[in-house]
Amino acid sequence: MNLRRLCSLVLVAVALMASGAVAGPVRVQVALDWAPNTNHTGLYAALQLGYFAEEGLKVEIVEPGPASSVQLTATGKSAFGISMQEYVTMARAEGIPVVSIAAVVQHNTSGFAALTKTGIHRATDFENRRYGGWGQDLEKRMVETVMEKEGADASTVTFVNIGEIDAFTAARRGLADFFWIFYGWEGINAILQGLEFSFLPLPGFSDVLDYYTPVVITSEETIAERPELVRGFLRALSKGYRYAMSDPGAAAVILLDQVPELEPLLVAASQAWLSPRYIDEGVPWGTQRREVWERFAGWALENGLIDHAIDVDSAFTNAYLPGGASGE
Amino acid sequence: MNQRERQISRPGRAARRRRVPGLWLAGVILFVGLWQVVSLLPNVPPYVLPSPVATLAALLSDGRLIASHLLATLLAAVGGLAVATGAALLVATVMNASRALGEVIYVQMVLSQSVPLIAIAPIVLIWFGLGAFAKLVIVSFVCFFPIAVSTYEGFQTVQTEQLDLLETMGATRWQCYRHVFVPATLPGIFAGLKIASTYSVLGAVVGEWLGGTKGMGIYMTRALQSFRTERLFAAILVVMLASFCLFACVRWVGRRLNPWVERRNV
Repeated sequence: MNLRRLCSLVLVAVALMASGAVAGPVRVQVALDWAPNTNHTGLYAALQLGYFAEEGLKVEIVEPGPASSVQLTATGKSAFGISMQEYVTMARAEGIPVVSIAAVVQHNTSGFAALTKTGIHRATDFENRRYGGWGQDLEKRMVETVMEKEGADASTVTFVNIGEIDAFTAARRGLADFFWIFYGWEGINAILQGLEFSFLPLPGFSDVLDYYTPVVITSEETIAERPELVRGFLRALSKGYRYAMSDPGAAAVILLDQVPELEPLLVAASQAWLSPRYIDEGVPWGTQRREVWERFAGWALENGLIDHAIDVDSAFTNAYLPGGASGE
Repeated sequence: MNQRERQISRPGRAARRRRVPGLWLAGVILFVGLWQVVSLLPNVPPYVLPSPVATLAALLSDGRLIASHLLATLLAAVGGLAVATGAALLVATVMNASRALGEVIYVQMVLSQSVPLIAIAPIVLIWFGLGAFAKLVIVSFVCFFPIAVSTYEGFQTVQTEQLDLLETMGATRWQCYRHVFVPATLPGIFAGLKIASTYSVLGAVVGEWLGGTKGMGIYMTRALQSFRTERLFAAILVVMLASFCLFACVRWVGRRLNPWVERRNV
């Protein structure tokens, strides 16, 4: 009697849960590439303004730290991730099936920075100086490339591993002389701190270095099995970024609402600087150009960062952007 | 404890209680004072060492936010500690039951301690995802060793004569555990638990630092990447305090359960 009642209760509960799973929103995880910053504002805007909910998505944003968003996304732990073209390129060469489905910012906003008092104003000044970074091959090749462009001798540079130390703190403490930074965050912060520094944007050296960073990624499996999910996600995300572009002030407030740990002044200034850069050249948000992928993959191969050529057409796609059926 | 013992032990305890907080407070004041002085030195800018005053201000202004992150961290720490304790007691009991197996497990346990957590944690997160479960795994992993080892050492203190005596009196296996093994291992268990309790909060923070959605580690990375050093320090203070509270809880429970150890120490 009691047992039978219990059984029926359990059955009802299971049925309720099952129906809920079918009718409820689809849970989707997005793995960030770094701590939240203005590169991610469109994502947080889409979350707060309910754009994801309109697509039937319940999005959870996770911060993977050094566990790369590429691996989390490739293994399906996260449906989507934020990464960079250089990581996607290297991952593809290793046979990791991630695909870039949108460019967050149209041009590379990173570059080399040094305090004015070091006397570094161009890449030739890097000679006999110390570069402070994470000790990756990619950084070394990047320094070599920009120095060779200007006929400087890169073998005179000392590479110092500063790990997690912020570049300008390291600069002010004299731990190293020049650094690779994201202008829209670290550069803007240095300006707010009243620091005088020179900034050499990577695209200024060569078109090859004007690659996409950051990009939105997913796995080949997600694209093959849930194309509508990818479309819906990008529709909402694109709306989020267009909102952030149209109203940088309100977008900054949204980012701070969602991530109250951030410094308000920095977020406001950074957002004002970055918002106009989400979209460029009269193309829809997220669009990636084949030549950008081809050029960078060629550079990576030439510099030994990957040991065989990658098929760029499977590394990225514009097909899931709103209104973008082709354009690859 | 009989009436006489109680009368003897009370004044001693009370006297100790009166003296200790004074010293404790003096130590804290000395530390904070030194911190304030160093932070005021001309070549120590706030982005290198924020002053205690700035840290306290950050703590107050972010209090609610920190509290919500702290809750996530504490849940992982306490949950992981509980899982580790359960697993450690089980493994130590198995090790005690079979000496050969015990040696095999012991070596594995020691080896497991040399796995660099910082290097393997990203992989753990890829295996178990970025949710609370991965954190639980990391905390259990770091807490398991001290509890298991000290429980096992506790088993070693049992003299065969004691067991022989109980056996001649016709005690069952369960009664042997109840009257010999449990009292013998309890001090060890709590010695291990005390160490593990301080590891547990740290383990949870490291887990969050390496990836996650909520917790003191996430708060710290966000503060750091937003160049807010004073908030990082505020978070460190909170983590230290949380660790200490957890430690104090474990010690309190330990004293309740091991009154004979307490008496021996007085």
